Amino acid sequence: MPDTTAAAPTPHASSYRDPAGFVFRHKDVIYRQVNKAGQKDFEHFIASGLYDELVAKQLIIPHVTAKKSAEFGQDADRFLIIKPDQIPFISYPYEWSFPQLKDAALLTLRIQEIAMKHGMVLKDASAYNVQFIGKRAVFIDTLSFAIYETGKPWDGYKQFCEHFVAPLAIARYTTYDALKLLQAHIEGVPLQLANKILPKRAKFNAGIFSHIYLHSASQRRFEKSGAKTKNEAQEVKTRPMSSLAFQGLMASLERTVKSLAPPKSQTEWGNYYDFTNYSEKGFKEKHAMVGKMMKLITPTPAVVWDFGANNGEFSQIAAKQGIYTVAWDIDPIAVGRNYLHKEHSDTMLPLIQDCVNPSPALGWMGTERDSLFERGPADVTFVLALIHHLAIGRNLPLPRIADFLAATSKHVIIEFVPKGDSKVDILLASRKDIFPEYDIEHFEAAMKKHFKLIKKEAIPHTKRTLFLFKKTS
Amino acid sequence: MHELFNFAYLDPSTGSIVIQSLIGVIAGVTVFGRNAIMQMRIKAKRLFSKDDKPEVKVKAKAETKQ
Repeated sequence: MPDTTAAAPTPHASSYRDPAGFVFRHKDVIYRQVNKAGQKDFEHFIASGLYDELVAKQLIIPHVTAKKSAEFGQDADRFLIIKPDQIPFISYPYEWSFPQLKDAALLTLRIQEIAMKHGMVLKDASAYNVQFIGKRAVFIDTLSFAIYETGKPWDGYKQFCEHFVAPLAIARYTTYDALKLLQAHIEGVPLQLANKILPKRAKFNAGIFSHIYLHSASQRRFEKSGAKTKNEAQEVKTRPMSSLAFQGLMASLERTVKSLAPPKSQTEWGNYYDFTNYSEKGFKEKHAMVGKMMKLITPTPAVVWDFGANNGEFSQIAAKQGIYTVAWDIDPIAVGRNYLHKEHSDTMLPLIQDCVNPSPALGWMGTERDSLFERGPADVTFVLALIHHLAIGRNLPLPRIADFLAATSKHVIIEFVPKGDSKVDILLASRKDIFPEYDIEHFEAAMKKHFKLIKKEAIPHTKRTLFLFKKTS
Repeated sequence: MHELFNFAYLDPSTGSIVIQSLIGVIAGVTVFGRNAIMQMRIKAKRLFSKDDKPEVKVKAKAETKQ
């Protein structure tokens, strides 16, 4: 019997912009309410065949209609409630590598193209409308579609330029680090900022010249002198845009995004596996040991996080078993390579993450975008060949590293790299050794404050040791 | 109709609206012009290469073999 006295669902903290509906969580499942305000567009979205085509092409997240919507409480604004397929792990644009952001942009434009054939348009172009399921970009905002009104300009144009064109262009002409601007500007990189950052030679790219330079110049002009009154603004907003111009705009955006190649800069970890100190035999042994430790974990993990995953070499051990594996790395080139690696499993999601400065909670009230910790803990975390970089490279005391792992993991498979290992020696060669407590005894003691030791095994042909820990509290 | 739907829930700035029409027209004409030129080229090629149709060549070869 449905509970008719139940309170109406509370929208997710990030779902407040669209009067057509909102996303909410109910018993750990994500639902979307379609409001009466969005009914007409939603019905057209379904009846026109657009939804079916997008689902058939795996471009949008499929959903089913929740039949017993009364169980979600009464809401006079409600038309219906849908239950979308659940996304295994929510990631954010500031955690994506260059090719991921580019693919998200192209997905948005492709969906727009298909929508137009069905008499609809995207009413916004937020990068947050896209998620990755493994390496597949998928559109998640079912209520982003509006019936196309002939002559109406595209409302999502400015947003598309700020969420996609500007960050990709800045990264293209500067460095990969430019993508971090999306963390400071969650509403997209302001075009006037992009204008100031981009080098003059970027103007020779016709797309960038149009969509960033001219666009920001136009914004500036109207901010200063144009559209001073409400009527003037209304007049501009109702100025018709021909269908040819609309299609031309889409074609131009697509050409611009496709023209943006990754930056040419190199990074420290881009070719990491060319420079490890492992022998081929030792490397294989480590692979086998990680696999064996995985089998000791019960129940079978649903989610694995691999910190310092680089190109996903070891993440593959979990991903190949069908376990959803988030392969984190600080290096954008390594993450991009992992994403583009065709042989890697589809259950692996490569993302950028700096463990020392992890993704914080962002947005209104600090609740719109979850922090790294709010999206965990993972069932298992891999920390392979990373601890010396944290402890010695970034001066993090071992107990603090253990605190971090306790906040993110139920189990940890971790490799301890001691002093005397050639990689640690390199780290210490150019600096004073101020790490008297960096040894295996102190490491184990730090970990045991939060974890129970399950297995400890020396990695053959190396000085390193592999541990499996289980969280105690 | 919901009042808010008189305008989209996003508020594109005036400058964005003006410039997108301009860019769209230029890009649209360019794409349309390019397509038109391509079509004309294809038609012209067909017109001047009527005798070189592949099926004619294949037929001719087959006849020689016999």
